[in-house]
Amino acid sequence: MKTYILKRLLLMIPTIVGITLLTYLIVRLAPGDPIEAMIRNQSGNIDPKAMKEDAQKIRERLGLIDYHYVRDRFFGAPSEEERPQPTGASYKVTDALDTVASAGIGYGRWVGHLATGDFGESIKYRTSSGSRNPLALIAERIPVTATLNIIAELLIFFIAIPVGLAAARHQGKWFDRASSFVMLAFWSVPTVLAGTVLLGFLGKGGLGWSGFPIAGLHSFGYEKFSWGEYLADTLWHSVLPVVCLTYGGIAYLAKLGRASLLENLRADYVRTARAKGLPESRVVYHHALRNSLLPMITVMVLTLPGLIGGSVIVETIFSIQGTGLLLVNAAQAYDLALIMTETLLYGVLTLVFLLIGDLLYAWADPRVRYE
Amino acid sequence: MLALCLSLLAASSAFAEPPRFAPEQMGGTLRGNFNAEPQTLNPLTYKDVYAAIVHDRVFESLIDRNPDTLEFEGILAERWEVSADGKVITFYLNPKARFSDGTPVTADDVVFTYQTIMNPQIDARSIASYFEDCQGCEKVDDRTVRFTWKKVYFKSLETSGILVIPKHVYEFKDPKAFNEINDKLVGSGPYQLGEWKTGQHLMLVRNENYWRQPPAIDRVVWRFILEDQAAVQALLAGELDDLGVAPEWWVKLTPRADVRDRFQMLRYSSPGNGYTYIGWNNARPLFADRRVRLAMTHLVWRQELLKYLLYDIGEVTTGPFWSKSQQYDLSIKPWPFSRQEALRLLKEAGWQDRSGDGWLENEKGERFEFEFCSAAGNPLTRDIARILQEEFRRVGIDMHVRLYEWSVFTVKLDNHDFDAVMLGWSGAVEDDPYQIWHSSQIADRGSNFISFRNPEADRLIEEARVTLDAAKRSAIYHRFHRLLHEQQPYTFLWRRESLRLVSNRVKGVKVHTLGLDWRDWWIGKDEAKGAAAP
Amino acid sequence: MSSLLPQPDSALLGRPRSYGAIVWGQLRKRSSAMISLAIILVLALAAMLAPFVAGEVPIRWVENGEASWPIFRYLTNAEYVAMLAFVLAAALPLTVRLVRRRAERVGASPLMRAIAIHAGIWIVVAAGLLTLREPERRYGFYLERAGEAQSAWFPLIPTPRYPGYESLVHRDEPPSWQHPFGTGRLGDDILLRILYGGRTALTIGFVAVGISACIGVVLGSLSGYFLRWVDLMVMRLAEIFMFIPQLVLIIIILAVIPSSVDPLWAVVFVIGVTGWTGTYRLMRAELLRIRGEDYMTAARALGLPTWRLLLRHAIPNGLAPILVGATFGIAGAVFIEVSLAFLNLVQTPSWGELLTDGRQHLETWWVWGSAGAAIFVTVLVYNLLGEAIRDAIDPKLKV
Repeated sequence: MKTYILKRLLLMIPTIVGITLLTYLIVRLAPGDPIEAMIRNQSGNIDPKAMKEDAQKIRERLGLIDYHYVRDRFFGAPSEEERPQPTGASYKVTDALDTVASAGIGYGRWVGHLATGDFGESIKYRTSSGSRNPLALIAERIPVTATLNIIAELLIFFIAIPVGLAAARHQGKWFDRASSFVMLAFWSVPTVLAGTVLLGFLGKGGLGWSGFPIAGLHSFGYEKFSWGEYLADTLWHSVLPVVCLTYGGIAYLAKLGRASLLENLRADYVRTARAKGLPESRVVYHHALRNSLLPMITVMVLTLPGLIGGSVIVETIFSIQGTGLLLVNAAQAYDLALIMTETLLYGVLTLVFLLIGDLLYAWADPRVRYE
Repeated sequence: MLALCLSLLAASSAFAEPPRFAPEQMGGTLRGNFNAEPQTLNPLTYKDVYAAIVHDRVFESLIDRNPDTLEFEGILAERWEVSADGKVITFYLNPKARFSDGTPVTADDVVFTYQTIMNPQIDARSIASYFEDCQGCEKVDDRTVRFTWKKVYFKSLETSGILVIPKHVYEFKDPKAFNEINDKLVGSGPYQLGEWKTGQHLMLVRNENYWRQPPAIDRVVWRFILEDQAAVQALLAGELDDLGVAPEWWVKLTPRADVRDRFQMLRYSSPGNGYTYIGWNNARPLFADRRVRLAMTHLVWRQELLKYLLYDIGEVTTGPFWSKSQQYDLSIKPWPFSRQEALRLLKEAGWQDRSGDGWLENEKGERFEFEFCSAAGNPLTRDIARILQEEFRRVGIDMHVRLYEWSVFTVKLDNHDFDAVMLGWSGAVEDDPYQIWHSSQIADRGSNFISFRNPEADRLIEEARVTLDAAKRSAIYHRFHRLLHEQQPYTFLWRRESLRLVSNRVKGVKVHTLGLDWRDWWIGKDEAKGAAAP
Repeated sequence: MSSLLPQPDSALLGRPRSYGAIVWGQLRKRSSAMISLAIILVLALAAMLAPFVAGEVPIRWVENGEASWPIFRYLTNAEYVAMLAFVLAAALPLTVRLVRRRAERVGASPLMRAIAIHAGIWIVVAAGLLTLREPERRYGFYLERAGEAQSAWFPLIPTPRYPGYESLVHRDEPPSWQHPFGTGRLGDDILLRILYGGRTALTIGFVAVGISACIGVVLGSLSGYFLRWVDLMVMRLAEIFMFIPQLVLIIIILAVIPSSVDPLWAVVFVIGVTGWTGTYRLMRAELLRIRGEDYMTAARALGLPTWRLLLRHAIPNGLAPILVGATFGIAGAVFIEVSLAFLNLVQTPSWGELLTDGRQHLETWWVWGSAGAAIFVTVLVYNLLGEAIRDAIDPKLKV
């Protein structure tokens, strides 16, 4: 078993390298200049020289230097005649090679910095204390996202299991077919639609019964709340976003639970138990259920890494400052450090939890053996 | 002799006093909204409009414009003198001026601010670029500071009247440390930073040591509601007092009786609104011909688009200046929408349907085809582009529409790699057209990316820059405005208007020439429900 | 040959049924599956025939005694190619019967041959069209001159194809006889937008899923068959694509694609290229199962080359779960498109765009309502179909 774990951990390394390298290359090789674009966007009409200097400073600070720079430092800058003309196929090729080389060097630098614990700097964002450290940025938003996701996961679990169970027990009858259809219908509603409708009709100031809070997770002045008030306030703010996050998951897990339970109910050991004369409820709840919970738990363990990733749609609609919005905005702004940190974090967490899930499965099911 | 000397020095000293409030008007919390969180509140390296709004209440500058007369008034400066040649500007600081920690505002602070801005390692290049022609800023005595400029420039006074930050608070050994400052806000203004909770709100509280008339409102809070729909709902639910809305919300909300009862509905134009335009690449053969550009303007039915897409909230504009400024020549009327006139001009320029296939061609048989591009993400731009595409197809012009990611788009602009773009510029009370229209700004990624090259325009711009007399300058700008109108390097579309809904809870709201001035507002003691729970 | 040998059961029941026929038989029993298929067909037809349902170009136009059929000039090559594909697909049973009659020998299944023939016809015609024909695009003025014609057969809903100054007056109108789904902010007919948006949805769904299915099948079979270091490497590749959040990956790749590429195909390509890991895992699992089957051992013993083993025997038998995954994948692709439209990354008119635009204005319910309904119905039917297929191929449920 230990060798298996070790093997899995070792295999993670090329995967992580692959993930981060691929992401880095794509972001570095993307056309367009995100830094100058950002400066121009934020500063309006700006003197071009000033903008170039601004951009160059930011680039230096972020380590987005070009291959030319490194090569010139080491080998001396080429003279005017040797400089290639900015046209023609040969220039395009060398330019492309230079770009790829820059990206390669940049990746190497990133890995090097990572070894010293330096995750780089975000171009676009700062935490409320002024830091540009991507880890700090993500860490600042994780509590919000995690709160919502944990509530959502719990809800999914405690609603999906009974529904799946009931559907399996009454297989073929109207409850099963109705709930199956309803679940599928829920699954088919896009989150954008659900969020919009909920906010617009149930949120304060909306068109319908408007009682739910519209934005954020806390009311104004929440620091002065007692623990009980704080909890109640947060939960009240979470209702609409959590509904958006759960309805799809409930559908999926209920179906999974139903299928798993059905499979177990057909198994030999259940026939034996029934033949032994055990009451049906004991058969179902004590024996079959326990075994059918296993795949569901493994699925839920696999969704744990997703806890740090928020849904950008839910966060935008409900003005929640979570990680989803942060990361999508980072991707759109080519905010390299943030993207890389998030990719790394997410990749590592997912792989680790995958391993944990598999180990859990092995521990719970004695038939499974890993070499 | 004395009279002669006095007349040689142009001196001004209009000193602005904030309004006075009665004791029962004091108090209250004003609740507003930002659509996004400011990245940083650093007084010199900030980059977004939200930070600017915050700074407007926390810091003060040497001079500022009167919201009604638009004349300059002294704030931190009691009076100032401009030398006859316009190159030396001296400010005399008000001895009463104090920062929120009680220390007086001195010339050292002004010099420190200037030097920090000009420090190449400080992230303030956008502000520093305005001081390119400034030779220096020196302390004459504790209360007097002098700016010396290399060239005459009518904007020198405005630029020199910088916002002042306290040296003893912000001084630094390592420029990086200054750049990192995110939320340290110590200024001489009527408010100071209360708290900034990321993702939640930003709050300013009254500066108890304010050296002038204190404002009426105790606290100002901004929430971060990202979406318009949600913000409007918050406003209607009584959680916000003041909200800027888009035209489609305005037309939905203002007819409602419950809205009219509870809110003041303000609509005004301010120079910051800027203008929207279609820029034709003057360097490309297609749009090098003035007649073609003028024809395109005739094909854009600006009044109709404004009416239906923006609900007539705004006005069609013919030039790059603010319509209420002296620079704008009101006698210039927009070119009317006319397909016949457009086709006539195009035919004159050699474009007509020679082959009967429904498309316009020139003598060489090339089709009138071009790409219209803009930045992605703005539904209004996309809608306008689609309508124009259809309308151009109708007259035989084949227009393709592409919307690019912003960072790719700016590269295209810099490389002049486009046929036509749709963009906007924001503006000031008085704009210097140099950056956008002078031929020197075409190369080197300047703002003249449409490659507008006109010697007469250059000459007018240069002449205006050194004309210190406002009336004479305006006359020059009128000629410049007319030139642009004839040449149509842009098809100017419109200027928008600001729309704000302010709760009846807030009183004293007035619309000045420049727009709204928060210094007027008062709330009085908050009702029990109002203050603590937005 | 010898009637003394024990006969297989199927001989008593009649001709042996292929696996596909068995699955189809199961599917036919479920009403939900049949209804879903019917709806899918209707949606696809509606999307394809959109110009005939709503638009400004008349089907038939008689002026000065001369009759013409303008719509056929305006149909784009892509539309002709799509219609041809439809017709060819519908004619498949005919060709299968033809092939079966003419070729009695044991060989490739008649279905495969028929598909090959049709595919060939389709490719030739499509290539010809694309290189030789340029569709008419100029403004037709037909709606405005309707009075001048002696007879004009307009589409069911005569309305401008694109909004212009004239349509602005009709903005935000609720559903009516002229505009069954109302009009949008530019006065454009919403039903028309739904139909054309359906094209975007279907294109993204089918082509993207097609791309990811191909990649997944190829990589999965290589991985599952060859195992050892091939498996190791490809598995790592799959993990890489699995663990980068798909949305972020799509956003970043979309930015890298040169701007000369049509944004719709960029989106399609990106969704396809980032979504293959599910299919990969399914195919790999199937191959792991299949490689141990007797017929594979037999084929290997006969000395068949590996590629033939894989292509003719292994892969076709493993395709059933892929079909399930692909069906769900189409629904998933529609969802991804909605998310991308929400983030303003989609430029072609689509349902996601309609929903995103309309959601800020809840009172004009017909805008977001029709987009939401279209998305919901489409995703629902594909999900239902996927479930039905999954049940149909499940050997345990066969009674």
